[in-house]
Amino acid sequence: MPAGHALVGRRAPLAIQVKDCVLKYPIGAHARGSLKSAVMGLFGHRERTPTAQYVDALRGINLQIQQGERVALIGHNGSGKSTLLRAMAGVYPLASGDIHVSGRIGTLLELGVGFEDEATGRENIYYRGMAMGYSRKLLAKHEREIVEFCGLGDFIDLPVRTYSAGMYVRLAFAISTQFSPEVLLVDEVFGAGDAVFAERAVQRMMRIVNDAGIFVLATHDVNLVSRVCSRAVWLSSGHILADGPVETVIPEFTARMSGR
Amino acid sequence: MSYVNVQDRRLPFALRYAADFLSYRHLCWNLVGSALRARFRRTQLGILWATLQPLAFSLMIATVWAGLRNKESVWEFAAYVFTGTVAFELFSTSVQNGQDALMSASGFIRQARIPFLIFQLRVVLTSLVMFMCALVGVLLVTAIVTHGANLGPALMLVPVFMGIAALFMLPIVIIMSIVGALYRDVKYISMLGERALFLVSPVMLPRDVLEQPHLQILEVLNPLVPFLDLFRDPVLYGNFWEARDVIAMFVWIAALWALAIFASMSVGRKIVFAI
Repeated sequence: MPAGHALVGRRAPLAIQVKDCVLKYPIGAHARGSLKSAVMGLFGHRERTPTAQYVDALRGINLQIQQGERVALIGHNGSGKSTLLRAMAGVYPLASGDIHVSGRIGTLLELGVGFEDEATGRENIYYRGMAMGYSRKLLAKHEREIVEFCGLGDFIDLPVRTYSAGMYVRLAFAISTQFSPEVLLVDEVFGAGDAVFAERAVQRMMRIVNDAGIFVLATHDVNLVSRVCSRAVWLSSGHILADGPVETVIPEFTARMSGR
Repeated sequence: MSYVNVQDRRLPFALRYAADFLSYRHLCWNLVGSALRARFRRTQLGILWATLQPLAFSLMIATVWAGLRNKESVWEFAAYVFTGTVAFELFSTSVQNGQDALMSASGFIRQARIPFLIFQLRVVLTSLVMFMCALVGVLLVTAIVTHGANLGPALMLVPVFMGIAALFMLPIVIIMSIVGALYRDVKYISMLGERALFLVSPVMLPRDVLEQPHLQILEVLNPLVPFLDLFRDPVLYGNFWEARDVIAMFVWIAALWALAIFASMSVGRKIVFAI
């Protein structure tokens, strides 16, 4: 059973509610602070010129996602897609506003997390799986299925440091998508792998999407959005520019992007 | 501002945190295994180095020391330094690795809402596994040097010592992981502090030196003094603990936990932006 929210029985309909969500991302020295300032601060010293530097990553986002919705977050680089996704996952703390999530969350934000380069692909099924909060016993039960899906053949028993980027992604994707959560948050996982595998990956994602109560995908790939999602939220500089059916938002987005 | 998983809201915070922690326990064990594998990968002697390294160091120190002070027995002093070094290593590896506990887990932390304690506990558990391996060598060497005089019922205190060590080191790791993520200079400062602590602690410094009136302040202000006593008493001398060491240790543990909880609550999840 995936991690995090396993203790609770069946209950309210799945939903994500984002209300007046503001997220300020500290950058530079202020993110860490200076040791001198911290020590001097103990004695009442205050910096004459405050060096606070923030990026307003999300500026008052309001969003409601209901059970059964497949939502794409689109926008150019730095628009706040990934940040909003991570805020929904509870990874990033908010400066103000509220996020309420009803449902067991699964994330696909970084595929390689939990991998050990010196270990074999088969061993890494366990390492990555445990990094996602699954037990060794559960992973043993699914090992064969994962190996079959990634299609690495004998390479599965070689160290992953010998893998190409595509093989790496295939294995990571196979493990990460083996179990379906109730709320699935995905950040650009189709960036690598060959065409055949990409098609299989999309098929699997469709299956997961259908199993998951809520699916949110942050991506630049408008073709994928048209195929997988029913609703698109267009973000720009931390604001929502448009929110509606894919058929309405994507043409507008594409037109704007090509006109830039 | 808030982030709430509605289904979890009905549980009090402590239970919610415990449930989250338990659900990621596999990750914690896996990270411990991973750290140990990374440390000894491709070495011929593997985890035996956990014993051999402090033993070799102790023999070097004892040989030099015995040369300087002719009347000292090399082997007895080597056993003293060996026990001290192994216990000090337990502390110092926790401090050094503790500073990176959150930074080295940034991939995990940015992936899901995983309790930070998983990564902090990982450091302590890894150090304890190394310590247990070294302990086999310690018991063997001390039994030879003392002709078995230390092999008595007091050895039953060793597992209790490990529990106390975990209670002592975990708050240190929590504090160091936060401070280390916020202030990168701390790595260098702590290295100096650790070396200073090594010199003023009874690792290779004879214990009676610290009992001199003008040095007693070092004994009172140094948590490693009771820590080392609690280890050596049963392991090297075959003695049960003295009450003053137990009390001093628990006072330090309580103070460190108060500081660790304060530091954790002060920074909260905001530390994710610093790693």
